[in-house]
Amino acid sequence: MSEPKVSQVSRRTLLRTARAGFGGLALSALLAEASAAETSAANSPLLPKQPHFKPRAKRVIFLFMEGAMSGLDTFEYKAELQNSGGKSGPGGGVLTPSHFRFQQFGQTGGWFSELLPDIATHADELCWLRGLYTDTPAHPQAVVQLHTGSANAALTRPSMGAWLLYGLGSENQDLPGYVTINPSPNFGGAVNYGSAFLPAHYQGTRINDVGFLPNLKAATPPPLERQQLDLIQAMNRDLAAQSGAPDPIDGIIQSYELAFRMQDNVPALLDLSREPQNVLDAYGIAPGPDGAFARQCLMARRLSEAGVRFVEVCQPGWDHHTNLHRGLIDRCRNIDQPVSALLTDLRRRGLLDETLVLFGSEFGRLPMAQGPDGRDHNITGYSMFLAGAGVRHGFNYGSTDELGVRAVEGRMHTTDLHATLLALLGLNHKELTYRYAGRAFRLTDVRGEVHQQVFS
Amino acid sequence: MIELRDNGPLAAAIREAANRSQVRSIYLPLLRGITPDALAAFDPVTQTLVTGQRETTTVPVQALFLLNSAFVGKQSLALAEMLLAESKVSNVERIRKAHVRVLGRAPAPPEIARARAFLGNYAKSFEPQPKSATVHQTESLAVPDPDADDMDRTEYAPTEPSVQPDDPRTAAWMALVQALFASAEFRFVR
Repeated sequence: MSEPKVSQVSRRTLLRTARAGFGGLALSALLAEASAAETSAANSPLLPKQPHFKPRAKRVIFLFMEGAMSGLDTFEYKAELQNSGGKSGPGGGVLTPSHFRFQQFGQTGGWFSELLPDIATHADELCWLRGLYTDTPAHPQAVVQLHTGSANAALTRPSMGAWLLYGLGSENQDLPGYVTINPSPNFGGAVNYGSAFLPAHYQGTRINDVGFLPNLKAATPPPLERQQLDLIQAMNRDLAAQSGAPDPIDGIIQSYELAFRMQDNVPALLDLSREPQNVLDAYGIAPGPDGAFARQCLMARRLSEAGVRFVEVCQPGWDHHTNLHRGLIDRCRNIDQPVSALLTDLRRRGLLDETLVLFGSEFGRLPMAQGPDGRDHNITGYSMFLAGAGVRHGFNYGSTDELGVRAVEGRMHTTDLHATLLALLGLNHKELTYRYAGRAFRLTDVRGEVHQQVFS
Repeated sequence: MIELRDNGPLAAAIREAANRSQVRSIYLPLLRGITPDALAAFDPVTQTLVTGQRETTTVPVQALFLLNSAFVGKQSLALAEMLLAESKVSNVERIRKAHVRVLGRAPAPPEIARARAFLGNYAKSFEPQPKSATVHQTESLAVPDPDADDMDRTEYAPTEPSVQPDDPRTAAWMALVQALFASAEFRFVR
């Protein structure tokens, strides 16, 4: 086998010497431009890319209710269940209606329980996916499947945010393109926002609910850091001018300037005190754990507004095998006002025309009781909602049976949800592939059907 | 299934051990979901996968790590103090030693002149920071009850004692050493 001839002259040197030979000024400028463009494209993999077809949405905000929120007590009204209390349910167990009062809202008559009075005011804007089902009734696998398309722990897959960033790039080069706020430390942990075999720059940047990002705080005052940075950049330019210099040095020089700007820009973006009081009040911004989700929602709006492609915020603590009633009251109080405020805020700013909001859990809960005050997992039928760009408003797609056990109409597997999300963002899930270990991989692997019925 | 939480006390101990470690990065502990801080910014391969070729990106988080992380700060201060500990050595000789130590080559005369000018200017502008105001933020790693479902995941940005030189001279040398660590030349094996 013959080795390819390795040139002793780098591309940079070749361009430089060839340019001198041509002499023409215009041509030299053109060449310099081409060279710069090539170098910067190779080192800026997050530049915006063309989608496969016209996108209906540009950005996603995913409001993840980790632990499986009980739909039957909040947004899933089942008349049959209300009348079947005490009877035996399918597969055993005692059917238990919700203790919370349900009511219809809006012109479309969407049902909500008294736990979600604020979200209920958006009844006419939401696009409910009511026929979802998934594969695994255990949180670690189901959470990972919802985020990466596969519950198979033997081969970690890229998260959906990483796929989106890979497919579309980022609108704002001064910010991370994919941010996850307060993600679960277990249930797969970093896998849920990782890039797996996709290049590492597509992974989610994790910040906590007070907006902390590692190494963002300047170690020295800006004037001193600028002095140091000038020295670093002088050294870098010297190196770039040498023959045989590695190509990415231009990228490194740029990355230092960007990092220097990020030290100001990112904390400013995550600084909620810059919001007017009426906005803070609308979200219910408060310090401490009880205000965590509200802070995350407002940060999500600010990040999304600044062009971050995929923002995920997480509210844990929905796994109510016990303490269903008190637990639901507490959790719903955490999320109801902020979710509603986020939807209102996005619409007021015109961002809902470009932003797709996804709300929900890794699976649902059963109509039968578990213990004195609990419900067990249900993977055969549950709901999530979409809102905003590209989807129908005040619309129910699919349904479960009369008791809310099994999806019967508009059945959507987790993979179908992924295919549909990618389609809304202008990506064909069958074409968005990455070659790894000898074959092309997709978010949807070998499955996935786009459910166009939810498109507006 | 036992899953190691990536923010529990055990995870914290592993990360701290990795940060203290002086072995080459290939020997650092790499548990599923826990990547040592020093590797996290530099295109680590996913530990659960086989990867034929590593990515080599130049994204800003790498610059932020080299400019602001406690790890690079500590290493820079240690080398600066080592250079200054030898009392009978000229500054030019110290600059030469720093280059050899970090970049594996002697500095050219213009580089020596530039470094000397930098040391002078930096020391002149330096003012000691009040200790409390200059701390490195690190991620919170402690969550009290690893089994609780409704656990509070609020992580207030905690702090790590800052790496702060006290006098202008040490500060200037630390900044110079750190600049060498942060240079593109240091990042490429040639």
